Amino acid sequence: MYSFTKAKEKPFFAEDTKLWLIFIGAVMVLMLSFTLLLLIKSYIYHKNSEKLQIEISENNKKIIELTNKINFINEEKIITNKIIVDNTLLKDSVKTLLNQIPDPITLTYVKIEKNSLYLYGITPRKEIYNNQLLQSLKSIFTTTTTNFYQMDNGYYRFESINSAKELQ
Amino acid sequence: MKLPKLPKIEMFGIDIIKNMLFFTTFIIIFLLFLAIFIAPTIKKFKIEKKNYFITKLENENSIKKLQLKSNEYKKLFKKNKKIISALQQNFQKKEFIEYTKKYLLIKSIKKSDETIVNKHFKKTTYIVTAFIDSPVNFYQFIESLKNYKNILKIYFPLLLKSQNGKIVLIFKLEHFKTLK
Repeated sequence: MYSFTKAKEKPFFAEDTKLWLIFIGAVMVLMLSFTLLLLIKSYIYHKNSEKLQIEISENNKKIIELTNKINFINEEKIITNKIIVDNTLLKDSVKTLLNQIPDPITLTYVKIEKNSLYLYGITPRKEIYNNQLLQSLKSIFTTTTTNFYQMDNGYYRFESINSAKELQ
Repeated sequence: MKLPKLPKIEMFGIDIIKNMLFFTTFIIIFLLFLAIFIAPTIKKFKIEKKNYFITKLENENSIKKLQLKSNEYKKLFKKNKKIISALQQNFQKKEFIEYTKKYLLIKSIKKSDETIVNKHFKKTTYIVTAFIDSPVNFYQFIESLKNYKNILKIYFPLLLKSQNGKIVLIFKLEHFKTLK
């Protein structure tokens, strides 16, 4: 038996099967691409977050450094102001003390310590010392001891030791 | 064993059963991809995005804080420049003697002690022996220390004694310097 037409090759996939396979394949590729895109974006966000974290920790370090510097300047300010105040107080203490010495009394030696005062000098009479100086000293110090030594000219050399209350 | 062949149902020349099977396969593959790849990736992406914006906000806050601190420091430094500089200066005996000439005549300055104060400052103590005409000179001298280039403190014991019509003054002078 002979045929006038050649036999057509039967396609491996039918036309509609091909369409389905292409469609499913395309959708799979699209979904994978979308996943990859999201992964890349996530990676970029992650890297940027890391960079920002480093920046934050550097900023925090700088803030701590600056806080320490500020505290140090404040400490410098406090210590300097305290020194200025202490100097002024010392000056005022000495001034007050020396201003309390009545005119007839001459001082020959003054030693001021933190909690004590040594006054050596000459007074024409004991009463002048007792009435004009001793009272002031007693108001400042808790213990006051005075020794008098009579001189050839009738004047008295005195040695006064005062202690306890702080001068400053 | 041969599987039974599915009956072929066609409508307008389209194989309904085959297309239904392809559609079901497509739906299954789509749902599987969604569950395995897309959903976890979207979740991860959302978390990373949220973290990024939180970190960005934190960074902006830290920059603002840093700026504020920096301004505060600059302001404080400018205001206390004199003190900071004075605390960094070394004590020069010759310069000090020259400076105090107006008020007292220094005979000697002897170094007696060196200690650390408040962890950050070095305190050097000197014993100064000087002559003055009147206690007023001493008061003026203390007052003038406010403007001296060093931070100096006068401390006890303070001794005043008369000697040949002059007053001998002995006092402790403490020099403060930053350790940094």
